[in-house]
Amino acid sequence: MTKNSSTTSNYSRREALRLMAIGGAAGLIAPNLLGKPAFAKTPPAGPAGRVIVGLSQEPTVFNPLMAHIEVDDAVHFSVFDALVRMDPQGGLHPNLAAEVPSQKNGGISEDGLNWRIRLRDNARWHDGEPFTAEDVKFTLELITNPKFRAWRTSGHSLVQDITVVSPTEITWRMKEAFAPYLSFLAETFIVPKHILEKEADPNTAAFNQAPVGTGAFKWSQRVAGDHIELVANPEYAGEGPYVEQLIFKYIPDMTVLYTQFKSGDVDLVDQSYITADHYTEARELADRVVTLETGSSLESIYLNLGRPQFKELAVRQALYAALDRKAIVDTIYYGVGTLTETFMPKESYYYDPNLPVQEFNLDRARQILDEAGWVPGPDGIRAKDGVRLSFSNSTTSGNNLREQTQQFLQQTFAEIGVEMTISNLPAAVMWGEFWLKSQFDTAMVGVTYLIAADPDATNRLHTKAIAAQGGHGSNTGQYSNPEVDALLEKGARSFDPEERRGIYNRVQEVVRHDLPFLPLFAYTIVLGRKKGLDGFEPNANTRTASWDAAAWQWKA
Amino acid sequence: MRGFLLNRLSQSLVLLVIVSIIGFGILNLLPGGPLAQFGLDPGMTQQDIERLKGLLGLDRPIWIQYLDWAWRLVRGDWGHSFRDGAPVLEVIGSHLFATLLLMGSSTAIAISIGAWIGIRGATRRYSLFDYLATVGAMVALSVPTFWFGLVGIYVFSLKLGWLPAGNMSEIGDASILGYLHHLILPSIVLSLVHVAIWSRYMRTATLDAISQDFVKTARAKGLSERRILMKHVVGNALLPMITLAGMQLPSVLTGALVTETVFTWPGMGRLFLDSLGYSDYPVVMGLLMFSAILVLLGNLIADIVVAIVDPRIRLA
Amino acid sequence: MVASIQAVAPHDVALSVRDLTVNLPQGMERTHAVKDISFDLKRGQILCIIGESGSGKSVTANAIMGLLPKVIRLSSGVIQLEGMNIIGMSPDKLRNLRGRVVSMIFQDPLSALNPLMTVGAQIDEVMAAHGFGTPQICRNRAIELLTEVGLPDPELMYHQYPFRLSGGQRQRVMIAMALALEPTVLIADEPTTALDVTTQAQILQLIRDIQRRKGMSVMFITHDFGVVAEIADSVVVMEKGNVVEQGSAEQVLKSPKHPYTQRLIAAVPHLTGEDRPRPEAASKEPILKVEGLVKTYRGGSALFGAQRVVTAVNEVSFELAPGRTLGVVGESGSGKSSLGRLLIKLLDSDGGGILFEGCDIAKLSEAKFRPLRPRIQMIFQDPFASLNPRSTVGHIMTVGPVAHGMPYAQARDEARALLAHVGLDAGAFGRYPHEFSGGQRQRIGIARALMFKPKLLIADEAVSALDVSIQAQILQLLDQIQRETGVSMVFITHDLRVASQICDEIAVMQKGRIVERGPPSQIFLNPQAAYTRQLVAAIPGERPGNARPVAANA
Repeated sequence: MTKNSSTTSNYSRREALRLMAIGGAAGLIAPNLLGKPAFAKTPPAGPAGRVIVGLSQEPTVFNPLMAHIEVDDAVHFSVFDALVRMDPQGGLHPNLAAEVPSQKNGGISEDGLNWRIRLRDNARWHDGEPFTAEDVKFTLELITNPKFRAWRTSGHSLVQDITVVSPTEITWRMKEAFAPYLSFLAETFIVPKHILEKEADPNTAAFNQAPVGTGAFKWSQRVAGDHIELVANPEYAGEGPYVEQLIFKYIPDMTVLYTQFKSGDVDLVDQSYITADHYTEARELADRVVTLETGSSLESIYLNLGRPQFKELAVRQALYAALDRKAIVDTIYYGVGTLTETFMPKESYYYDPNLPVQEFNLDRARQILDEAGWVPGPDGIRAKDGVRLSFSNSTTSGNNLREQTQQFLQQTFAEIGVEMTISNLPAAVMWGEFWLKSQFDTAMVGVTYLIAADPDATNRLHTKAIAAQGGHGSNTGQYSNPEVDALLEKGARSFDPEERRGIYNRVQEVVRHDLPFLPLFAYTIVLGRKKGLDGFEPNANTRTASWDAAAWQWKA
Repeated sequence: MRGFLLNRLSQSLVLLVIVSIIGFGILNLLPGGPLAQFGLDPGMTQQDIERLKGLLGLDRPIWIQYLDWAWRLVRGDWGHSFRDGAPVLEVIGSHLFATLLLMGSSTAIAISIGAWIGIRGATRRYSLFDYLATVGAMVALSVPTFWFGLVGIYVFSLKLGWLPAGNMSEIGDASILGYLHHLILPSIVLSLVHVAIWSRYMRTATLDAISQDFVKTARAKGLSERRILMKHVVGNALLPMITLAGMQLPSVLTGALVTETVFTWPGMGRLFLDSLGYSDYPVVMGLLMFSAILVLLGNLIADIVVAIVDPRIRLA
Repeated sequence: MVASIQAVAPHDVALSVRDLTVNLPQGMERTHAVKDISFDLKRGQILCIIGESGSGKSVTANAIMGLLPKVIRLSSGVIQLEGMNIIGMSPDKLRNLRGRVVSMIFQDPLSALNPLMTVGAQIDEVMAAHGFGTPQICRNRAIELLTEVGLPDPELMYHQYPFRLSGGQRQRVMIAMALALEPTVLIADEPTTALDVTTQAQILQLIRDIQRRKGMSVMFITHDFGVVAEIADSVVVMEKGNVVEQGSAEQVLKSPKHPYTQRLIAAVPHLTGEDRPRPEAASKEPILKVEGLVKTYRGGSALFGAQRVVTAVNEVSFELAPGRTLGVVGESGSGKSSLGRLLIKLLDSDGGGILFEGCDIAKLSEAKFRPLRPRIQMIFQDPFASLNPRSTVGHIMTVGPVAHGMPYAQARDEARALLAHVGLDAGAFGRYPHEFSGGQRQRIGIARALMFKPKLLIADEAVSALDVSIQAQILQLLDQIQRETGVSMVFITHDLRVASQICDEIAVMQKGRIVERGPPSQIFLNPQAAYTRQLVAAIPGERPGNARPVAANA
């Protein structure tokens, strides 16, 4: 077990991590830092106590390489390790790797094609077998096995010539330079070769129901439909764990989930967190810590730029000026929501804080439209060159808060001579072809732009990603700007965080100017936990609040 | 009897085939499908989704998917869940105990108390008891179960702290007492509605039996009121109840959606809802066939019991 | 107690009722079910209480048994049973008397026995309730009783469930049960009304035999003067809760004093044995010609197990001339109702032909038959069930013709005219069925059928549910209508006396076949088939052509 030797304050540690990310200097930091809690404290003698995490969806996929959803991540992060992991500030740390590969430390070649990863030598699988480079090779190959129901394959499909140099060293070649892959590795958990290679069909292996990892917690049992029980792995190579038992409890109803948090049956509320309407009450609960944490997705009005109404920048600017975002967040979303000007999460190292701030001003909106020649017709609706400034807005039907927001917008838009009709659809229809093939006028949607917290947003913003025009990707707003295209291509090839920051800041600047979508607010989650639960830290760069259960412990 | 059973079996098979075709059809007509959950995942490309479709066999025409599923089922293979890859029967089995525990106890409460209230109400028709029972039943039937559940949790768990707020047991505690402690609130809440239903049925059936001529005959014979009630009225009033109880059997094993959700009870109702939400076709179809078989079985058992109890059918 | 001021009944009176008044709950059409009635049941006699529906005869019986529903209150009077006044007696004491001192048998033997208990158990029960003896003694006594009431194989019968028994057998079981403790008084509430005529004769015989053998006192409630004539020693006539006349059977039947009794006796349909006068010969062509008509019912599944085949109508053939009436008589299960349904195609036949005005309608499809349907109309037994309670009489009558293309104004005028014709006032058009009495409803049913100007009327037990006085009026109305409109009629009934009143020709059905067909004179005076003879002989109180026999006073 590694011992915490640091007495640095929060602030200095945060700065250190940021520097590390910038310089790619992670290798300089001792590998035993990983998972270490961000406060100074003498760890207890051994793991003790139990933490019950409440989830509103049931984790069912325990093979971390198989197609899964956010809620499964909570289990994966606790049972498995990836090569690297990403901290709340976006910094990368070695996990099963001995150091984070970079061009500086030689882990990644200058052209970005040859990767060499050194692995830690003291990690063991839960069944006692040692972890080696063979497991990494097996994992990367399994993902691209066409018979395997793998999750995301982008990035992985570029990997070739995987070579095990020694039990603690592995190399591969990339078909093309692809910087985001390093972040992707933070979500690629390594699975044991010695167990899975014996299985005829990895899709139905017994392993998938009783996973064996290298992580801080070992699989104990699952009561289907109820809870999953993990126990501390005393042999864990990294820091922790400090709790003896980790329970993921499935509570399907959000109100009941909150009630059980209130009653003390649940120690921490993970996915899908405390609902906004309970925030005010939750904040006042005794012996509970309830905080607002911004998430990684952006609630916005998505404009289909293929529609003639939205071709002109002036229209988009006027609509944006007509958004009373503060009123929407405060009166409809119970004040839970953070105003932002960009798709980049605030926690990201690549976030641009210097973007112009939107101002709600109906007169200004009218003025913009007047100047652009959009004049009100006999029905009060503006028009120009035969195009009426009228459109429909769609979202998932039954989403109460969004429907209220739509009605609010309908009224304010009417005041500037813009007609918005509401046409909502069931989730499965809304997010099918209607969304993917850009068949909407405008959509109210919460969109995540980053994959594995890497700033590369090619999938959402590049011209090649417009599915409606035959592209591969999810650029459903049909946004196309040659400068952004070039910047995105450049950013994906660059491994230098400083250089990438410049690139993605410029992307945010251009997108803020072009307004292909109108940001409403950054998703904000209401995170609640018991007061005595120390070592907990939220992390917007992962999809779960339980990303680092190894560090949790009950205050004595 | 053998002819009767063979006859019922053949009817049941035809019915199961029809149910499965309709179920499969409707399931596939629903937009979305099992991969819709990845629609907003920024890392899942169109190719990823197509690839998974192929691996799950969802790229084939629906009728081939159906025949493939049906042929496997005939050979005893219920398939594997799309969500967790576990065999469907195992998935169903893992939720069965919880449902049986909850539904079994609440049905037992409901039938015994409901029958008692119904008989008492019918024999003391228009009395204060009957009036209160009627009003109580109306309230129980018109107030949603989740409301009862939430009020129960608020009062007995949050305020008084007597009973757990939910769950089937304390994690790590598998004692029978622990289960019973957790069972009290949900089984009472669930049985509220059922007591109401059963008491109404029983009241009607009892009134029906009381108005029969043979009850008048029994009085004319000088039998005591107690014997008339127990021997002549209740026996005949229970006959139609057997059929109703047979209809109740499937729900004993298929669960109660709302109560299971409110009390975080890991039963079949929630499994069905979740599986439907994820378009987990094999599990949904498995549950559909499972409950269809139970419905048929429940009716069959009821018919057999009625045949045993009622000499008119037994000896006809 | 009220009893104290009453003189003790004479020794030869088993049951004495004095000034009995039973109140009805408020809102009923009368304030009293019975008012100030008094009568005596002499020891060892049969007293018949006769009256039409609503006369209060059943209430009287139930009052004596202490079985009145809670809402009906016994307000005053005395009921002396074996010298005890049972009014005001505690429920426990009353219960002790029931089944031991006074027993009762009911109208419908089908529902009067508990279907879930064996015959033996139900007889044992009455003995056990009164502490008669050990189960073994009870059992022996039960078998003795079963033998006594003439049931075959009593040992086996003891273990049978009621559903296995015929109606007559069940009524015998009821009698056995009532006799178990040798009660002083037996109350029989219309015990033969639901039975076929031949069975009725047997049960009447049994009651009379037992009464004589045991010297029991029987209070026999009936609406049928034929039955009175068969068994009564004395008679009490009730009307609307009052006793209007009482006396010996001979006295009341032969020289009734009260006008109501006179009217009632006059209304009783008698076997005329006389043929109806033929109307002037119309066309010789029969309007309806039935040839070899067959209907079979199949039970069970054809695929598995044994199939039961019941031939309800078997090779039935007959002809009906225009303006004439054919009576179809038979006991329950004879197939007479199935025949009626076949004729208006409510049922599809399995063989044979139905030539209506020369056209074989048996083989017509529903669509092809539809234009013919208005010409064949049906009158049902239960006039209330056949009328939609939510429609006005006017609507009920006009909806059919309007659907067949008649202008509403014309339909309305014709409906009003017809209602007047069947003896209802003009206001009937806008009222609802429940506002009418049974007889009036049947008039509406007839008027409705006539709206279509039918050529053929099928009357299925059209007067069976009505009191005798009403029955006579309806029969008269049908006769009148036939003479006016020349409509032909098939008159289905179980009551030979009714058939003899209105039919030109009678077909006797047994087990799906017509066993004899002929004019009433032949059927009643000179029956050819053995079964017809049996039927005629069983008619209570009737010896066609002869004087009515009256039970001799003992």
